[in-house]
Amino acid sequence: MQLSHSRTLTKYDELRKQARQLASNSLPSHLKHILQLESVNHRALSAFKTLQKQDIRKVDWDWCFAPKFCIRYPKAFDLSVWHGNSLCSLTLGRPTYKGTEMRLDFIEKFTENPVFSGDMFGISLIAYEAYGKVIGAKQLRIMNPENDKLIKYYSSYNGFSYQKSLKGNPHYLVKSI
Amino acid sequence: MTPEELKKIEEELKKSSKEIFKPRPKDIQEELEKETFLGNPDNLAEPTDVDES
Repeated sequence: MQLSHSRTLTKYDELRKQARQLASNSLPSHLKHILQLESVNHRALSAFKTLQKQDIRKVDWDWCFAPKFCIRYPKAFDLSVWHGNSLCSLTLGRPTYKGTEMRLDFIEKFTENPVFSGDMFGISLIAYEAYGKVIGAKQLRIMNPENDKLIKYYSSYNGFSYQKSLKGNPHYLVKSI
Repeated sequence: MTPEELKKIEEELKKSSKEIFKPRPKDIQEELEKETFLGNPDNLAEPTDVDES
């Protein structure tokens, strides 16, 4: 690994920590101090490997790819959400090439806890907005949203607008941050 | 970042948080509870780079 790449990783590691802390501080009272926001670290991957064997997953995504992704894209943002020792969700994304937009590429939820199961996507949105602001991005993009009902909801109520797929790039929801 | 800059971001995030976590229509709440993923893993397997706007 080149020294400049290593320095970027270290610098952005600090920014990732700041963003997770900012997001944690900004959660509503029913989630604050109850859920913990961390990176996709060894603990998260270990928990995932147990959950991976369950049949309830709708996607067959191997999150063990996440650390490699974060080395390939040193400005990427990884998030794991915890309730005590239970892994609730994993999220991964990165800034666009120009760094002016923060992409939220993929979220997978593992919790069925009715108290906060419906809030997992919202927590990721807040964390990605926090990281986007910290690195100076101007927009937040949710890449390849596939649930029409949620696309309509986020478009109508959360300040997002829908961008169709163009020039081979995926479709996404976008809002200014 | 300066403490002032971080404080400003936190204030902005708290406003966004109120918006994101406001009470949702029942059908949307059910959809959010039911849905287990958002996005697409292909984003990571074949990420777009220089060509993306």
